Amino acid sequence: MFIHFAFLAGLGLTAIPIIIHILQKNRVKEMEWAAMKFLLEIVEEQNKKIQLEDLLLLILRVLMFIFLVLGIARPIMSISSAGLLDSNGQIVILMDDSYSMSTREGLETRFDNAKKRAIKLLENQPKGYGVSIVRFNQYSTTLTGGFSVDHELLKQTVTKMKPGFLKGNIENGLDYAIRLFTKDEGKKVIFLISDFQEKDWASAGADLTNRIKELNGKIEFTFIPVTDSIKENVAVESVTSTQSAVKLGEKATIIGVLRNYGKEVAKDQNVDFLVNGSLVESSIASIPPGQTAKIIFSYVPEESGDQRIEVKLRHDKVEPDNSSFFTLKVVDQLRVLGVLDESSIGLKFHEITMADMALNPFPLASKDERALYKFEYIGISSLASVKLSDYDFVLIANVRDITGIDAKPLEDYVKQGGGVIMFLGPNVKLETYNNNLYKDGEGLWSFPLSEQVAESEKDKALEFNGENKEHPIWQFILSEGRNYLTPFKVFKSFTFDVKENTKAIVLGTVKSDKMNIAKPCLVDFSYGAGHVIVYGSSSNMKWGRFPIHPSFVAFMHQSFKYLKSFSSSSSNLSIYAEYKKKVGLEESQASYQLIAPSGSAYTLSVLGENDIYELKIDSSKLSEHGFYKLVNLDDKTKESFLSINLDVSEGDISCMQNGAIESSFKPLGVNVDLSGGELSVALNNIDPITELAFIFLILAFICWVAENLLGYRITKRS
Amino acid sequence: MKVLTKYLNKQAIAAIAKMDMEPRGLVAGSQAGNHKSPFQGFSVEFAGHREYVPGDDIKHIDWNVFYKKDKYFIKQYEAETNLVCQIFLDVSESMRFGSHEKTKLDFAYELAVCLTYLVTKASDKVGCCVFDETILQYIRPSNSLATVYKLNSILEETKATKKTSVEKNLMDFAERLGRREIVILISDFLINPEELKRGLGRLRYDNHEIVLFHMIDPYEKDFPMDGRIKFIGLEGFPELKLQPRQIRKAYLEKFNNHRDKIVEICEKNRVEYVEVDTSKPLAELMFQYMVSRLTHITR
Repeated sequence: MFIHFAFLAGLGLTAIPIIIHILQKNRVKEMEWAAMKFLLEIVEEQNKKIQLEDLLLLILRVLMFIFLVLGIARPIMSISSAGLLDSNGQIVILMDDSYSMSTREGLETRFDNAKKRAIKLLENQPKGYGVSIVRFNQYSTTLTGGFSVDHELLKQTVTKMKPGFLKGNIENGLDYAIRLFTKDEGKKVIFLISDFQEKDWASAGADLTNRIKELNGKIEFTFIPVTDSIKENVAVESVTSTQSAVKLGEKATIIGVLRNYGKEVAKDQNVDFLVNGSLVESSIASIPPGQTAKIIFSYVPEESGDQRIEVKLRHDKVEPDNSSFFTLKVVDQLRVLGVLDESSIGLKFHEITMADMALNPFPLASKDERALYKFEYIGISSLASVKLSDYDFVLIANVRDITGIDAKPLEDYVKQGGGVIMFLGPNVKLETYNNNLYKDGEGLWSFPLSEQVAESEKDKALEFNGENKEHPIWQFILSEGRNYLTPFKVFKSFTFDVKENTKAIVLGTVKSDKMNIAKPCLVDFSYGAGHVIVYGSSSNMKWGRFPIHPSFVAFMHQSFKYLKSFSSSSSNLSIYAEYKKKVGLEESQASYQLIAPSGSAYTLSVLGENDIYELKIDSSKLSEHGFYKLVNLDDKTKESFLSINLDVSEGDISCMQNGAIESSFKPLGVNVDLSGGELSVALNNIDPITELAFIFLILAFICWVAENLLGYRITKRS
Repeated sequence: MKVLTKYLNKQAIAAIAKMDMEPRGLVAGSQAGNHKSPFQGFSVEFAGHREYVPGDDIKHIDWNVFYKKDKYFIKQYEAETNLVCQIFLDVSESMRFGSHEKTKLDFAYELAVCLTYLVTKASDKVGCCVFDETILQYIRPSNSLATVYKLNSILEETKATKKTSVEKNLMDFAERLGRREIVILISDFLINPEELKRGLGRLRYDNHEIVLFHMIDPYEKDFPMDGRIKFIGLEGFPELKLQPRQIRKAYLEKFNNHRDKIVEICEKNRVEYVEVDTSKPLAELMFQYMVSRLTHITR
């Protein structure tokens, strides 16, 4: 507000000096001049001078930025390394960040207490001493990239720390801290801040004790416990489904396993079942101490694709293990291509009928609407004209001849990660198979096919033995002490001649009375990124009884599940696992983005070698538990989810008592600080480290002043 | 009406009316005159005797000596000859500059005409060479007063538009001269001093008495201008926009160095150096110069 507002018009008078200035500036007199030579010489000399000054100006500016950057980077010089001090020393603050440190008591977690202790320690250290902060769990890392003298920066780093999702490994952490010391001489101090979980410290046992004893005198240890009396913890140990994939509209069954790591019965635990983040069902469970409880949920998926299944405990003091995640694949159908001799096409009952019925337990088998596996049949002569990549599996049974033309598309299909199951039988002509599938060890098969074997006595079965019982195909048949193959009869079978080859796994052998040694009749051949499972006998009743044996259903399901696993690694992974997925040529051109549960995004690219393209995610990127979203940036409808789960063995959170810690470690020469981080550890003779930042900043300032003075001089003259 | 003597400055003539252009040393004219010659002969001033040799004219035998010595001696006299003055006048484009009433060229013309008048008035001979890049005109030495009018007329028609070439023209000019003449150089000498050094050396070889009139405009000497000035170069130099105040010191240093170098060259070659301030009257210059000739020791 102005009393005489109109007088503000007088501000227009400011234009007068401006106009005079401009007019004066533009007024140039002209004059003929005889002694021009002198003027030109002066101008030339001044130009040279200006060039020199410009160069000087440039050098000053460059130096100014160099010094400024060096100053900000805060270089340090150890006085001992400069030969000014005989003794030296370094401090490591080792912080346990396993997920048991997330245990909450009141408003604060064990990790919050650990951070407070670490900050107090940093405040107690005299300035100029190098300190390194190391976090340890299964893996250990330094947060400071070595030793730093900037205690403020270290405090800020500690403040920002959060507990991890891994289990602890105290030996690993100590080893890492010891390796971090870069100097042979001088004092070395390790402050260890942990919840002293009984499980970890008890298992470390004698090895740890010996290690500390061994280092006694060389390294000074101070243990700072952040213990409490909490012992009760229930974890969601796992979430799985009985089905490898669920058909759209069919019921999916989900099993959640809860484990009580506490010492008392965990009563009335509220458990939620969530699908794609929405609560579907809740349940209540009571679990005895040290026991597990299975909770079964079921639901009918209404959309295809990856479904995010989560089982979550509502109230528990240890948050990370309160959830477990699972990605359920919901598909409309899985396509299976059945390949037969032309003469068998159109028959009501042929070599693949039993396999179809085993996989689709309905009266009409794959023709039933509820069938997950959709079978289509072609004659062997049409194999070369079919686009195999459209099919999830290829099943070939009792085909007479496999020509080179037939073998080529099969090779390409398997090479890209496809799965083939082959049943042989009476029609099979050995020569064509060996010529086109074995190809002297270069083909799909790593072993050549040998003659049929049979017992001389009619109706006498061959002796069949399952091999490599830990193979996934035998999971429900032979593993864990089961043997459901005993009454299983094979009367006739082709066998394979064993060759030195790591690409083949023998899954079953047969032996007749006349044979000295058993020969393989069931083999898993790997080729490129895929596998071929070959059974030397028939898939119908002609040469054996396997198709009507109950284990045949499990064999077929497991075989398909096993073969499918090579086109993509499971989307249900443990934390820090590596993920690999085979992709086709078209998908390999696309860009991918991985979005972590916290929202961090990573761009991924596909790597290709020998026409095999693989989308790979480093384990370091899968460092959070929860669902990761994988998006094809070229076609965003193609998104999938990876579920990452914790190793819940960390769930046993009970801590050692302070008295036990003192009695265990004090005799080893370890300082135990029970005072809440106030312990003043002798830091005599620790290497003072000189910070050079101030010198560089002063140099930068001098350059700035010189640059300004020179600039002023140049401006004035020009 | 055409003025016959546009460049004959009356004040200057009046100032030196009673003075003559006396050479500082011996001169070798082609006619008998009022000035001492390096040669001996039979004239008015007695020089000495020498023994008679056959072939000498017997009328020069000093009989008084014969009576005393009983030998024949010839009487000898100092020869007296006329003075030949040569004016070497620069009419290059740089001479066109003038910050006051008269340009350097105007002043140089008046000086040349005045000197011509002064020499011819004493019945001595005067010649004049007008040059820029080349010798434009050469007036052969003459003791006629008409030379003044002739020179005046030539100068009126001369246009100062080209560069100066002192060395080449001096070499050329020297070929046209005899020996022991008075050579007067009139120029602003905005040239490489080395050129002048070589030219003067050539003239000194013929034992000429050399006088160098250095035409300097006060602006050239003091560089007093202010504000922003676009300097338009003469003799083919480019234009330059400058603020003179900012380079005054450097300019004066260069100009003074140049002048000092010319003075030094003159001293080494026994050349009389006369600095001419073109802002002052010619009469003042002529008077001071003629007085200085009278008072200075003869070389």
